[in-house]
Amino acid sequence: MNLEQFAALSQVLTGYGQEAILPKLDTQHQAAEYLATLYTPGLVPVATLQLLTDTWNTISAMPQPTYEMQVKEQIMGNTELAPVAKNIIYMWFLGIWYDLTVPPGTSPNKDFVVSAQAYQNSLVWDTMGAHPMGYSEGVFGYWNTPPVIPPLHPPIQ
Amino acid sequence: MKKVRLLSLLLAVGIGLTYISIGSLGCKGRPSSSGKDSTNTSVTDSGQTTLSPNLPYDVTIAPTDTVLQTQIRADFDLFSWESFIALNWSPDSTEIIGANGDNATVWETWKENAEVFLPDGSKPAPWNAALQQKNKVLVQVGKTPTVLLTDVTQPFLTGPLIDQNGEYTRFEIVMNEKMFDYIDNNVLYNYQGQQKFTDTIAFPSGNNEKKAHGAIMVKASWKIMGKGDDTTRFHKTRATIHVNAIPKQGVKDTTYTALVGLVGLHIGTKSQNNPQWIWSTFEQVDNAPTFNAVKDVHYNFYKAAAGNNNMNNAPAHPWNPSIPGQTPSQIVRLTPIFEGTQALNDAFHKKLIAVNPKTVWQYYELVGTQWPVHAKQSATGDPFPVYMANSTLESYIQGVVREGKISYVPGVTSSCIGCHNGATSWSGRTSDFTYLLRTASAYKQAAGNKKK
Repeated sequence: MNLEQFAALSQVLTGYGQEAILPKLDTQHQAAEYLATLYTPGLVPVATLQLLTDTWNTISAMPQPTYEMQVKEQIMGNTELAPVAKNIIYMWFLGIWYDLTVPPGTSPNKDFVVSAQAYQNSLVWDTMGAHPMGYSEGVFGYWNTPPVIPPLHPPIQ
Repeated sequence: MKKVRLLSLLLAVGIGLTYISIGSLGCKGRPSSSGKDSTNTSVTDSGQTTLSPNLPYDVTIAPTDTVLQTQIRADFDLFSWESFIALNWSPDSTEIIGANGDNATVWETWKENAEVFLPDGSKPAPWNAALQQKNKVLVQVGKTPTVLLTDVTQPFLTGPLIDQNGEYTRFEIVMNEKMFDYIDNNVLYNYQGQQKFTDTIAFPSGNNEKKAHGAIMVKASWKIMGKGDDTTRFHKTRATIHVNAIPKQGVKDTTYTALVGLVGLHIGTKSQNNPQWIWSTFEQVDNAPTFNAVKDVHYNFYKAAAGNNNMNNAPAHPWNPSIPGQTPSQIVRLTPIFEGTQALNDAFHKKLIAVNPKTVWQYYELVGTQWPVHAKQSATGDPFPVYMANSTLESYIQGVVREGKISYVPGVTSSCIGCHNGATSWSGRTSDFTYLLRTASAYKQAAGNKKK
């Protein structure tokens, strides 16, 4: 799976648009980091990664409005692919990779934060209208005003 | 789509947040131009590089420049070099930069911080560049230890920088007329004035269409010329070095004159297209080696024989610049200069050498330029490069090396915009990316003069 394929699949899985997942001017390279994590030897069987790639290629050849339904049926409904897809969601929203061999969160010794930057860029903060604990890009004094839940990002292009 | 996003969030929050105790998880580190006029003294070639005394106003990205890492970065790096050349031009513009080897510079005629924010909070003297061409005084005279420590140390009080001769590096901050006027006109030069100022502090912006300059501030670092230093490789000036007494730390009040050489130069430019400012940083080429690329040459702040055990660590306390022969800092540049930036350095060096093979300006290099890529996205505007450090000005916050790999920590590793976003005035409101306003004192009425 290349970066563009991964970014397109990630948009369907997260509900976030292109500019959030793989911006045209990309300063963070977050998608690239998550893709590299996905392909870290030992984390996901190579055959499973190939199946995920093939399945996404099949879906992406269909009309764009059907992506969500197809991902739900062909990926989330597939017992081999669903855990990997969920892990991709976890990475995007939490910046964490969960050990696939056990239920998420039950293997703290094998789970890991992808990077400090991944934690900072986790989509959960944006979704909540909040910022990561210990890091904020807000204007000084932002805490004096109520958090604002940002509008939904543009739909998938 | 909304449904999918909500589902994803619930999945993530429901399962993941329970376990988001970072302390219990392993953490994988990862390697992780301008508008201008031409003058008779300009030197231009068919390429991009131009030696001109005219400061650029802003960066307008060419429509054909779409690649952030190379093309757009090159636009900003060119802006930085043009700024550097113009600021280091002779103030009277009668000679081309470096035509006589070294020369007085424009930025050194600007107002120093201590000339604007006076100890008694009174109104500073009006702008007069001619009068401001004066003897340089490094380390501001102050009555409290805080003043001394603030002025001789680096951001975040991470510690002084000591050269190979055991001498403390000295720093100064100056501002241009636009910035000074804004502070002066709005009485931001003292505590009370800042308290009364209820508008959002917004310094003037450079604008290409209007051919207008904005606020510019320059921070410089200087080393005292001494043993082992090749003075032909530095922009130099004689300066008065002053150390304030701190009896508790054994620091004695000391004043002497010395020949100092420029080793670092930050240029911050406020502009219309870049409201989080454009941050350009230059260094003298002999400062420090790049990590894992030490050469057999003399460095200002590194000695190969000393090893890397104390690399990029601040000196041990007590910090006392009066003591001679202190253990030198062992500084390494962690992030290599980007190859495109280095190519531009080479191009400008050739242009400078063509003017005079002995020009001191050939020994300065652009380390990088940071700007807000998505200025409206957030207060910090998605700065790029994400991290940037000058080895003489952010020596100890360049990042960390673990098991031979460099890693960066958001909010800790040096980022000009990321740090300056937190700057405030004495009113507690944001101060438009400058910490200078916090150096203002309360206005104190002179005895017998109760009216301001």
